[in-house]
Amino acid sequence: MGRKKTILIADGLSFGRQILKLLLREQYEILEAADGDEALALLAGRPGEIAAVLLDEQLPEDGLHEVMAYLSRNDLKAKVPVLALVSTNETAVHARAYAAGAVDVIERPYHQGRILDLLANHTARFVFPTEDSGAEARARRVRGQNTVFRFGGRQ
Amino acid sequence: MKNLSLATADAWLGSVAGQPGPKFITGLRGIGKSACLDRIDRKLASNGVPAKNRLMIDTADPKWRRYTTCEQMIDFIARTLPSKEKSYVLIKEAAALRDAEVVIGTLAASDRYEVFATSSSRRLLGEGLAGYFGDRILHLELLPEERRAEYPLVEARARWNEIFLYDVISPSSILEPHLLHRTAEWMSDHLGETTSLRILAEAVSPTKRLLSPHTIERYLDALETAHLVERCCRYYPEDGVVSSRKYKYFFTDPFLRLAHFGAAPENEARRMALNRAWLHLRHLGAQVYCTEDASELDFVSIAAHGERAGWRLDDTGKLRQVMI
Repeated sequence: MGRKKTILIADGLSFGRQILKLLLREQYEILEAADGDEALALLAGRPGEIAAVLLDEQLPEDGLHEVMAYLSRNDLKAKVPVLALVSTNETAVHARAYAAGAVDVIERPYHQGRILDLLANHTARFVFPTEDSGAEARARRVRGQNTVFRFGGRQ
Repeated sequence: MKNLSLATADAWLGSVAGQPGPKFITGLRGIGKSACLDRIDRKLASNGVPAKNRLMIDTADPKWRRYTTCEQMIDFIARTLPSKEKSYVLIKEAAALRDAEVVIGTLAASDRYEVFATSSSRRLLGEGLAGYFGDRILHLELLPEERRAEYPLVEARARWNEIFLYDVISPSSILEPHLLHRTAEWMSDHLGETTSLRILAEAVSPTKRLLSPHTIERYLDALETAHLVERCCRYYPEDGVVSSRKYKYFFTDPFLRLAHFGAAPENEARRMALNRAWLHLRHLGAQVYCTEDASELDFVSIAAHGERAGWRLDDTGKLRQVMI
């Protein structure tokens, strides 16, 4: 099997993250975040490494909008697709997630086949960072140049 | 003795088999959940599902304790059952599994598995799983048969003790089980009365210390989680409003209550009749509510399609339907 793409799962419920992790672990490397701040820290700390984000629509402290704002500010919206995790089939909730910038919506309870299909589609164009870009990113991280965002709002 | 649980399980299996979502059978310890699950297993076999596509996980069996993480359990199941065929996972006392919600949620997300699980703890279907699965949980709640008083007192007492020890005290991390027991005793003596946490706290508290209503609420929650008692909220028929702050408790199995605590000091016949009436209405599958103490009604039932019915227990102990 080839190199695995990395997916960030941001869900306030631990057991929700665990279920997704178990469903996707064979196909993807998984990073986990329990709130918006953790998600932002992982996105900022691993530039170019995250192929997609599965984000709870009800992430604590408006995490969905925080993450979307960060991706917009850093011109990453087209590169890092966000799929919103929702607990209902209500159109209004789905519409809210799309309006916030999600490329797709995944309803609970999860269906493994559907999630894998969606992720395959939305990460098809993902390009793994090269050795150089990885080293560069790490160096930037060491130099503290990655702090292009500030938790809690736009700079 | 005719076993209603098994007939119920047959009918239920017929209605839920093949539907998406995990299927849960819940109820008091000893009510017949495991027998139902065994029955379902045999039905699946007789419907042509081969043994290699059926996995029974009995959490009481020590061999399952070697799987100490949900990953290990999922990996074992994936290795044991054929990878490209639909299989059935049947879990006895799922709440005893480590990270049961994760195991069930993960299995249910795959087309490969259909999951049936039993639990004598309401907590398994608490916030986590209920929120996650929403209305896709298929749930069969087993209630005691009303004529269960046919089994011996000594057996009923042993059953109560077993439930109290394993399903009430052990999972609830309550440090003073004797106070929990006194709470249950008070409820037995005041069966069918509106529960006041303050009065209950005063009655149960040790001599030199007053328990807080919050502590009492925890005790009640522990008893309810183990299916020993069930809250019956007050309903105001004129406004169609349910109050979550005014409620009575009834014993899920009135005979267990009588066997363990004996008769209440006053009005035992009326209390027992009320409890049996409540159980009878629960058997009908409706939501059952109590009414104000001075009301002409004792219960209001609301069926799934919204039809309301009022019920009154007359002086001879008969339950009569009343127009509301």
